[in-house]
Order: sequence, then structure tokens, then C-alpha cells
Amino acid sequence: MSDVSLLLDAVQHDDPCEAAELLTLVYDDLRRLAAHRLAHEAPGQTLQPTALVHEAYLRLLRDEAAAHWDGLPHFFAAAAEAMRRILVENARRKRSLKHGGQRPRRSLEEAELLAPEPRENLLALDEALTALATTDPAAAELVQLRYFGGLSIPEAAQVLGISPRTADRLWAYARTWLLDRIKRDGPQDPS
Amino acid sequence: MTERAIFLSALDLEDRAARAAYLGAVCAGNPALRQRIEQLLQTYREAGAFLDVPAMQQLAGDDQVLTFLGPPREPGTLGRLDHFEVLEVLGRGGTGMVFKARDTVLQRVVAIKVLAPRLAASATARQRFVRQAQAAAAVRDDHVVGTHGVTDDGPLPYLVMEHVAGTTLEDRIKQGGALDLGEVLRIGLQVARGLAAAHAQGLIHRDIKPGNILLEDGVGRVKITDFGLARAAAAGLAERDVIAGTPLFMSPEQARAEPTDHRTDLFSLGSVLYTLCTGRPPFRGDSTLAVLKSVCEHTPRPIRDSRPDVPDWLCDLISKLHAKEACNRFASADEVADLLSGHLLASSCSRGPQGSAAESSHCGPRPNGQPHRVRV
Repeated sequence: MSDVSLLLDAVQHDDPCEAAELLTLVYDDLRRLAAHRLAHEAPGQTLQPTALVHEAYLRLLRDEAAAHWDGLPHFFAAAAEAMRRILVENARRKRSLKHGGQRPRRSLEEAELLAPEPRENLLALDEALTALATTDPAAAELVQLRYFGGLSIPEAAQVLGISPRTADRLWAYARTWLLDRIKRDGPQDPS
Repeated sequence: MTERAIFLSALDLEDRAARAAYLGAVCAGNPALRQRIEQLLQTYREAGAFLDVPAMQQLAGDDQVLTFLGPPREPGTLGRLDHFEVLEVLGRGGTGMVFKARDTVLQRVVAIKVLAPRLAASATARQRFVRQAQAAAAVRDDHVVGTHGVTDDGPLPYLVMEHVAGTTLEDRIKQGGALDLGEVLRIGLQVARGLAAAHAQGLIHRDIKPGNILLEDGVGRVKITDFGLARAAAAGLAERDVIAGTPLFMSPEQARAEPTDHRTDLFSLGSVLYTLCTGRPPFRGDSTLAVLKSVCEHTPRPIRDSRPDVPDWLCDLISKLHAKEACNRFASADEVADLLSGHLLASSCSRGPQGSAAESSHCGPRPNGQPHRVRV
């Protein structure tokens, strides 16, 4: 996939912003592949294109992690940012599909409606996380790396340049702060 | 002091009185701040699994089971499932998740396999899961993980099993590569015995692979887990063209979605033995399809290419297990077990007490003190 080599190039040139853009493109590629496969599967097949996309994407990131972990912690910052954008955008699209009233036009859209969701309400979490970033940027960054980037707490600590113990404590505060904020904002539209 | 610092300092004070005293002092003259911190501490206690599992992992289907757990009653646990306090995730697979849990009624540690939500949505998959669990519960053998019970009245059916402290054969191979010959025979023999016991009850495993073989800590005992569950997983797919099991260790008849009998497990046992000898599975390919094709059509690379010390008889035994037609394999797992134990006994006794611990243990009583079943 050519996007991947562009991506690595961007990462090597220390451009996390561009890397995040490119990761989004990679994700879209995988999504198109899944859509293509879906179109050619026998009807009645229980295929989960969204799950396939996520599996492929995770594997890709894990492989990159193994290959580039040492020199490129900002790769993970970029990946986490990209995943946050992707997932929040997916959640938004899904909600508008559900509420739009019109039938999904493409089979992939239909499949996405049936796809599983994380237990957290992503739209509410996204808003809360943006608010946290204004008062406590380190805490927000940690959540982004851990929850959206899929890093472990010690890995995220390494990216942030803090000790794992500090990260543990920061994590305890950040998730409490976010949950509190989401609760106070009241029950969201159940999407 | 920032809100964050006060919150964390208060969190460090587990004693209620000490915490109250601290907050009284640090928030003196600022009741709003104190109320805010109290509220955060309350939220902290109720947070459960919030944000615990990264979003992508949840969406990849791995961890959806966690969303069905009730809030934990004890700090540090993942949540609750009926009267079980879920302690940690032991494994994830096509059929669902396996947890380590504490039975709060019987006060013992167990392993719980919860059927994946996407499968639990299928009545066929649920029925198969429960039926297979019932069949597995009938098998009582040292080399088969014991089944305590199965529950099907909640949103997700689950199976309660004996918890085996140890590692899987898969992890062992990942860490250390190929095993020494004595270990191969010792493990192979116990897997064959476990299969024989299950087959005697009419139960076929259908997914024998290193990940389903547990090596118990300390006692050197080998136990097979996940009996028959591959079929439950298959029920989640279209009924036609169902392929159940793990491609790398699957038999040709499984790969072709043809009817199978107990000899499908013998083929997979052959693949496990091959992997133990060489450190790599016998049939490989870039894609699932390529692996399936290889299982059906190819003869694996001779074991001797990478392991010249593997004796002829063992290469022959594995080749026979790998016969593409089930009728050309051994007739039973018992037959394979007898062959392995005969050679194990001969080789370890001929080497005398200098043989490896694994081998010599089979000349005398077993470490767990049970009589050794050897039929030569």
C-alpha cells in the first residue's frame, strides 16, 4: 500500500500532523477494500467489514510499532490522533445515518449500522477530552494515547516522557475527570 | 495546589477519617473545591471499566464481552458475572473470551469462557455452545480441563471450568521455539491420552492446536481445553461452507468443510507434534486460503531437514497422522498414545537416570503421584 510508505516518510521527517492525515488515508483504503469484499460476498454471509477494517488497521499499527518503536514515539501520537478522528467521525456518521431516516445507500453503510460500538459514548468523550485538553493537556494526551492509540500506560508514559508511576496517577485523574464531565453534561442522545 | 494534585493526594489516603481530615485542611474556606473533590472521588469509585479497553480493541471484536459485565464489587477486578468476580482476561479467541474469576459462593478460582456477543445472537451457536459444554462436562480425565458447569440464562452464555495455572503450548513455542525430543513425546502422549478419553465419550475437539493445550505449572501435566467449541463458532456463519477450527492446524476434511469424525483430531495432533519438533506449523501460506490449500494438497517439509535428531519412527508416526484421507491415519488416539508411551519408556529407560527429567519421570511414578498409565 503506497500510503504506508508515504506515511513512514512523513514520520521520518518528524511531521506528526501529516502522519495523522496519512493514517486516515490508510484507514480509508482499508475501508474501501472491505466494501469491495462485501460487494463480492454471497448474500446472507455474516461478514463484519468494520471489524475487518479495525483488525487490519490494528495489525498494521502493531507492525509499525514493532519496527519503529525506538526512534519514533511521535508516530504513536500521530496514530492516536488519527484514530480519534476516525472513530469520532464514524460515530457521528452512524448517528446521522440512524437519525436521517433515509435507508442506507450502500451495503457498507448498512453494515456499519450493525457494527459494534465501544461501550463509551465517543461523541461525548470527544467533547469532554477537548475540554480536558484546555485545562490539563498532559492528562488529555495520555487518554488519547491510551484509549484511541491503544498503547499501554507504560508505553504512553514513554511517549510523554514521564515515569510509569506518574502516568498511572495521571490516568486515574484523567478518566475520573472525563467520566465526571460526561455525567454532568447529562445523558447524551442515545446513538 | 491544583485540583489534580489534591484529588490524587486524597486518593492516596485510604483511611476515610484521614481523607476527610486532609480535605478539611486543604480546602479550608473553599467548600466548592471540597465538594468538587468529593464528587471526583465518588466518580472514581463508580468508574468500573470506563476507558479500560482501547476503542479499537473493542471494535475489533475482542473485548465486547467486557461490556456485558456488571460493575465490580471489589477494587482491581474487571467486573461481575452472576456470582463470579472477574479477575483478569486469560485469553481471547474466535468463540469469545476466557477470564480468570473467583466463584464468590464456592470461594474458588475458576476459568470462565464467555461466548462472543456476535455468536450469542445466533440461537444455533448458543445451542451448540451449551450442548458441547454439557458433553465436555462428561469427560473426566487428567489431560482434559474439567468443566464445572454452563449457564445460558443471561445475555451471554458462559462455561465455568477448572482454572489451570500455567502456560499454553503456543506461548511456550513462541518463547523457546522447538522442544527437545523428550518433551515432544511427553506432551504428545498426554494430548493423545486426553483425546482418547474425550473420543470415548463421543466428543470430538475439532480445534486441536498449541493454543488449546495447557502446560500446568509445577506438575508437568498437560491438559486440553476448549472441547468442541469450534463448532459453536461456526454456527455464527452461514450454514453452508462452514469452516470451523484454526486453518494452520486443521485437517483436510475440515478445510473442505466435509463431515468429520474423531480422526480430524488425529490430523491436528500430527500438526501439533510437527510444530513441537520444528518450531513451525507444517502447513503455511500467506493467506487463510493458501493455508487451506496447503493442508489439502501439500506434504510438509521433512522434519529431518530442520531436526536431524528426530527418529524415523516419530517422523513416520507424524506422517501417518498427516494422511490426507482419514482412513489412512491411525484408527484411534489410544493407538497413538500407546506408540508414544512405548517409545518414551524404551528411550528413557535405555538412557538410564541420566535422561532428561521429563523422560525419566516416566520411568517412575509421576510427579503428581498418580500411577502412570503405560501400555506397551
